[in-house]
Amino acid sequence: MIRSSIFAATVALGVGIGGVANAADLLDEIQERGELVCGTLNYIAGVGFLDDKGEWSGFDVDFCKAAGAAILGDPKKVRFVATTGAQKFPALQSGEIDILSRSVTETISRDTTLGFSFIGPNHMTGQGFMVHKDTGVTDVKQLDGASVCVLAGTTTERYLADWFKANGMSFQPVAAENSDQMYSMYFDKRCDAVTMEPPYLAIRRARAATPDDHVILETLIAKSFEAPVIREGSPKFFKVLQWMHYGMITAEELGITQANVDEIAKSSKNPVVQRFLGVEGTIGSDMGVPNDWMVKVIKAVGNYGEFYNNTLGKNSNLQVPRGMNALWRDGGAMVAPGWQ
Amino acid sequence: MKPVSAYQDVPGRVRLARFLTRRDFQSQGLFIILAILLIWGSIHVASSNLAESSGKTGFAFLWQKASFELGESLIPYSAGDTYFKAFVVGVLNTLKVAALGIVLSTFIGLIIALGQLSKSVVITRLCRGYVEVVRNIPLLLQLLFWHTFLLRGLPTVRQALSPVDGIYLTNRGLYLVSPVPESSFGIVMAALLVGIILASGLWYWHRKTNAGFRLWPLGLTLTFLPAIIATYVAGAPITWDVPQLTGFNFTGGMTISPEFTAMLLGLSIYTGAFNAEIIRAGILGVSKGQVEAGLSLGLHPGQVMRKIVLPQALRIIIPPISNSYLNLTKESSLGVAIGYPEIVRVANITLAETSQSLECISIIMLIYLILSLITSLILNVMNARSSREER
Repeated sequence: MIRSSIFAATVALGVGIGGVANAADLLDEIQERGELVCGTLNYIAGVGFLDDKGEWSGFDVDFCKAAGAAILGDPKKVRFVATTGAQKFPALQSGEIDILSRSVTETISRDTTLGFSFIGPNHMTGQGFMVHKDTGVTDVKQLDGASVCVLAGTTTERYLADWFKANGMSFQPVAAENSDQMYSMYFDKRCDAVTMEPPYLAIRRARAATPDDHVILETLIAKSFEAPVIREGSPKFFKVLQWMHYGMITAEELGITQANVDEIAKSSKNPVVQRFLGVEGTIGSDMGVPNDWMVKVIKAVGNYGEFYNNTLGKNSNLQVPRGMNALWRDGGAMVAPGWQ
Repeated sequence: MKPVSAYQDVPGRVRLARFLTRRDFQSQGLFIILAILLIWGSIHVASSNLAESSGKTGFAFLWQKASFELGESLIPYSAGDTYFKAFVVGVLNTLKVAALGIVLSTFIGLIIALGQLSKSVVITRLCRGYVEVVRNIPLLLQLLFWHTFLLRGLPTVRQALSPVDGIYLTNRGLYLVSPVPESSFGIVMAALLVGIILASGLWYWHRKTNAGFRLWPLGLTLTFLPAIIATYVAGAPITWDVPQLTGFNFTGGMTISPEFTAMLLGLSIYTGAFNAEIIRAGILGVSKGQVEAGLSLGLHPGQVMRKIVLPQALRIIIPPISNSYLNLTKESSLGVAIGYPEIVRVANITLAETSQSLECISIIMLIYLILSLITSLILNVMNARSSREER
């Protein structure tokens, strides 16, 4: 009896220690598994949306499709997991998902203390306000004493408190668990203003019963640079995703699109293009992915311009202007280092 | 002669050996060892995985500054206070809704239980219907319903309903006048205390001497006279803070938020249905003979209910109703769904800010455990008391 309990103890101990993950690069693990697990959101059309046919779409979803194309050669080899605001970081930390592509705002504290690596940022915006027109508010500074609807557990909640405090103003927070609830409270006039990134405000205003009754204030109270996130400790995985993001920007610079990528790969004599599309050199295989990985990415979601316009921009229902997300040479902030 | 005991004569060494070979000892010992190993193993795995995935563990974050507002609070709180204080605010808000919910749900339960036992068919059916409908709809939906109902059904701030000056009903809450203590508040209260002591003295003297005068006119005068004089001398002890529409919102006075109201309504109405069944069972559990005896003594039915049935029913009611109270306290965590700043909301936002999920979740679990243990302790004492009265 005693001997058997010692045996059981050893087993329990072994199981306990075996549970600790060993540190292989996630890139190899994903390729072995043949599937990329992507945490995203399922209820904002244009950003992350699961439709009634079971199809995922949107900006954050397409990033994962591109990653699937880069790493596994097929944008369909991605399994999407809907994550909630409060559970998104634990899901990533626990290894339930490989990438969190869910409009996460990159901040120094998140980057340096959570054990995460941010890619990009791939969507640059800021935090703004939408107010009821009948309040007569035209500037953020007039919001002293207002009730503000805010999404619980997001950076917007923190920036809101920080900004009002810094400006010696007061406000009454009205927290919502999800964005549907937040906007419905705003439209019911539970609050005078709602705070969120302007593109998302615009999406909701467009859907309002009377869009003209709402004003999106011009001033942004904080930068909000959104970026996909992975766990720290997989340098190969990180490099592939980071350069995939740069690659999509580079493709737009080079005029390579979803439609002409095959043609250009076959016919281009430009050494930069040849290197970029993997016709020449071993950039891809040195990173641990096929040499033609950027061809796959561009065929899956297009260059950065197409990627943005098809989901949020002018080819979508949302019509969000590119603003800061235009290429650097067009006056935006999207840049990529050289592909040498 | 010494009584012979086989057990006593056996030397300790042999007794220990016998004890160790007993089946029950071995199996229970094994179980305890396994349990300890399992717990130790999980803690080990969790802590090493945490150490690997994120740099920060431990509860030091509680003393850092929290940069979020919580809306409503029983103690002054604003962004920039510590996370610890935010948690205190959350606990107080949970306690506020749970305590009021327990009182209100008991009251609703009693009314509905008596209604179900009434002679009128209409009232019986109505109360039965209430129980069946409310019990069978998930609480979360009811909370969302009440919240939406209050937001949509009540007027906006600018069109506030105001039956009396100083009371404004809007979809941002009920604004009421609130008392504000002035500088003379302490003096007047002290005078009132003096009055109460004087009146008690009078009462004592009256009882001792059996003086032949009516007690209460003089007693009341003695109680309040010092306070009235103090008010004249030092000024009014309180002034009223009247809410006023300034800019976007009413300021001043006190506010009862729609989130709190929805929580209180939802929890009380839902738990009230369960309490009604518990109380009904308790009343029916008192034997019919007791009622008949009471009636034959000439008590009227109300008196029979108050003096005979309910005190005895209490013995049956208290154990199951304490479960119901525990449930109400725990279910107040659903407040997070409608943005009521109770403990789970504070933990969620802290979790999002610090990402110390294990710590935040264990804080919530610990707090609910403590709250539940306190509630059951109180009810156990009450139960012991009501049982002791049994004859």
